[in-house]
Amino acid sequence: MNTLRDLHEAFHELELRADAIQAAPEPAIRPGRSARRLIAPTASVAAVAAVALTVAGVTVWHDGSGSNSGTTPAGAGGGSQPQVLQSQPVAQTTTAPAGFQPPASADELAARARAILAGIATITVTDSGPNVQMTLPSGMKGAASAAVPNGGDANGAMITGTLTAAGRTGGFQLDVYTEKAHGTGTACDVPSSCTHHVGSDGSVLWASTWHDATGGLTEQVELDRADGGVISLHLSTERDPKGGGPAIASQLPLTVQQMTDLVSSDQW
Amino acid sequence: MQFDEYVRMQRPALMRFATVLTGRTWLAEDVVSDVLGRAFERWDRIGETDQPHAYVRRMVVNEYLSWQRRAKRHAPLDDEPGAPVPDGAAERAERAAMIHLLDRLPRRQRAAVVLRYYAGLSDEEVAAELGCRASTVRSQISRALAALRIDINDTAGAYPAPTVLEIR
Repeated sequence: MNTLRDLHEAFHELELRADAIQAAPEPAIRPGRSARRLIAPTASVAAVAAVALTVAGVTVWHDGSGSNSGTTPAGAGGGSQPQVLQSQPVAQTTTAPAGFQPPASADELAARARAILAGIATITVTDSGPNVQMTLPSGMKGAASAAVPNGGDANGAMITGTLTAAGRTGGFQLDVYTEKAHGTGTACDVPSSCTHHVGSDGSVLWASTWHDATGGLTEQVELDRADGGVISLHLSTERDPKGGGPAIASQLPLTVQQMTDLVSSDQW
Repeated sequence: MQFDEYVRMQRPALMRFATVLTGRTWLAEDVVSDVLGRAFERWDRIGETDQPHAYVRRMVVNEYLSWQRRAKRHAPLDDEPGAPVPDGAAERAERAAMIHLLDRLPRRQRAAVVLRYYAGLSDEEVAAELGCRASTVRSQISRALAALRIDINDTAGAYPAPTVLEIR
């Protein structure tokens, strides 16, 4: 059995490592995320020509080549009616008009998610909280933000837990909130695998997929709505959709199209 | 306080905090550099807050929580906690074992433990940092201590209450 002293000694060891690395020449301070985001990856350039077609009530995202851009419709179990998005030639920073009403609490968020996923998947919420409040009108995602205790003036909510569909269970995190202005760069956690599609109303659908070193597969789909709403879903074969942890599935429980349907549902 | 002055005075403390938080010096450097880059862009406002360092530290926490997956994908093996201890000393082995246990914690649990026992924040303050309820923080810390196999009631040889860092 360990004691708090062992914990503090571990902290001290890590401090020593930090001190040692700082003895080396000081690294340059890199430009902020917003600046780096202005450098569009190749995938994003291809996505500029993206078009969204509505076929039999299901939004199908296509890239410029005419093939599906990794978001093959799921077929069965398509879920709710997604909003129709069409292409814009250039991704722009979108200033959000008022309108989107984010869930006021994690419970409300879970209820909305369950309603949208009814008949498709079930979720078990293991952790929740108010989302971070953007305190700086920077228009940068994740830019200097302050967590809001106890829901205070939070601009949304988040839930995390497990999602089960088609006999498979994965870890998920769902964030739904509002932004005064969407950022100009990528919303993807892993820009190298990022694609985005711009709708005629200025909405932007982001998608990214990657494997962890441990083999876990994670998919991120986020819709930045023109009305300021942000619906972001992470789904992983690992227990913690954003932090690794033990693998709990060999395949994702939802297809990318089903995830897209969820974030673009008009029931939000 | 000017940004240059802030960086000169507080970067070492930020690096220590980020290294304890992330467990990896290379990732701490990455996170701190990125955060300082963004802080510079908005320093006219951050610098006017009552506690700019607490604000920047919160940015570090948020950055860590969002970068964790990237850390797993690109972690250099030679900086992995739990790597073989060169000198084989028992104490170093024990520290390495504890660091390895820390590394296995889910990121929010680790952040809660670091903010509570390294930064010396109260449960309510940790909750404010992480954007959750204090009860959630207590639950996360309880689970984390269990995973770390720490008996909080065993005070034999324990350090005094954690010192609140100068970065608050």
